[in-house]
Amino acid sequence: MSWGEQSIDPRLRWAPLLIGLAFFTAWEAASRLGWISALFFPPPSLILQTMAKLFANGELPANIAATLGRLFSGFLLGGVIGLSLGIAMGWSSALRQVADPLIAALHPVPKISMFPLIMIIFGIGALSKSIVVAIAAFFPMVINTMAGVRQLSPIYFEVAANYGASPWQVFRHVILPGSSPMILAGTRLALNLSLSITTSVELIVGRNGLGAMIWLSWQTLRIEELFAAIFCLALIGIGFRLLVNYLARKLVPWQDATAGRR
Amino acid sequence: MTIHCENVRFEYAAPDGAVLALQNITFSVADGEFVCIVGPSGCGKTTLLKLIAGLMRPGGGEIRFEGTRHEGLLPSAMVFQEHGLYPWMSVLDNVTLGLRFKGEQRSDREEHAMTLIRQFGLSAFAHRYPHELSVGMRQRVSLARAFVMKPGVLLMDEPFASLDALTKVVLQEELLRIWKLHRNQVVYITHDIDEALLLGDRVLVMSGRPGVISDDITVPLSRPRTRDDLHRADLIDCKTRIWRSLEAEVRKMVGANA
Repeated sequence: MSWGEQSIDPRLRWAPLLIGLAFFTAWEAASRLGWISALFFPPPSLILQTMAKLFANGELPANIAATLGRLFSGFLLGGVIGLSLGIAMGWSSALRQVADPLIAALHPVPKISMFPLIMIIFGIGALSKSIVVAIAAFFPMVINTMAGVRQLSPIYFEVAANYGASPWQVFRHVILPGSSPMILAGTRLALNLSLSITTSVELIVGRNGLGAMIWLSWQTLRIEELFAAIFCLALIGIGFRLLVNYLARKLVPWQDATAGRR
Repeated sequence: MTIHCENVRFEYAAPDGAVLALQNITFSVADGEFVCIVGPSGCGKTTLLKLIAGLMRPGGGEIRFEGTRHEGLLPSAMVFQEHGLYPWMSVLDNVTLGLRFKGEQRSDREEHAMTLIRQFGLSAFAHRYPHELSVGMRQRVSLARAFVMKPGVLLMDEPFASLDALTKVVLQEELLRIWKLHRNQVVYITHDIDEALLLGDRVLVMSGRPGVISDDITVPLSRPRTRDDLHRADLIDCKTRIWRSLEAEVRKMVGANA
């Protein structure tokens, strides 16, 4: 696990952007020249115009806010529980022995399939939506955090014990910083999964949010609006990537260490 | 302070029953004495060091620290073979680690740590991370981290084993130079006979499976010492005597004929 810029080839820096631009240019041309149906694949320029319009009339900001609100309430709930349990499971082999098989059993179940059950328990309101997102965020967080704690060298714990660390100090100065690269990897996965589950839930039952917007525009065949919502989801994904990279620079400036020393 | 090990015994659990790792280990380390323990790999040297450090409890016998001369912060501080530094802490943070665990104020602990960092010639690297340093520098940081605690005893587990021969020579001299300033009591583990004779006031020879102390030699050298001293006739006698008591076991271990 290595974060940061060392391994970056400067020549490839703009490659993703260029590929994206080439894709959209080809799409624009194909749509305008009638090679593909402009009804179902409106040119990107039109989609951007629609986005600008929906942004100006407040529809898009409201839906983005609704989606992000659900996403972060669920992500924080599931992420914090996953982080805490992951650290505990990494630390205690007894807890790991009990909880690991349970996690293995629940992890592959598609989280969206639990949604009806969750609505039976927690009702059809906002709470159920947050909880299904929390469940989705929980798994990558708990699994990555546990792996992060477990990969810490036993010597780190011996040094701490020998130099008189209290259990809190072991946690604060050894376990937390030592497992932070893996915790960040878990955070990135959890954010993206949260976004996709939030959107799925909105597709099914939402009255607002980007997912609901996608479904509504499909049913009313306002395809530019459907694409506008999808573009927004992609932009949120890019935002998450930038956020996690920023956190990595702040939290693991020693990034190269794990790669170089093992 | 004097360390007494009396009839120390240690077993560890293995799939097919307990394995006796150490047996009848009896020796003392006098105040300010530098004792080297030399023995082949797997003879239980590191286990013995961890018992003295209190990281594990002996299965029998006892380890006593007598006297209160040390005014330091810890009864013992250990220097590990390698990977003992935290990669997420700068050199300064690694060296101040023990002081921080003891609750010392930031300005005090950084002042103390910088003194040691200077003594080990690492001033320019105080804010670097371990992965930015050479292996030799990292071990100097490990040494500084142990010395700064002014421990009753410094426990060193083959600190130079992963270094190349040339770097090792430099670091041995550096260790002696800094040890002279602090005069801590040291228990130093190695499988390098020359190193044991160069550094130690006494050399304990350990043989393995189960580990026992098979010889106890006082090194006939005054300080300061240089590597040239190792060529003296009485030192060569010491070397031969140590090798004789290890030879059979080492040969058996590598499958060679005695």
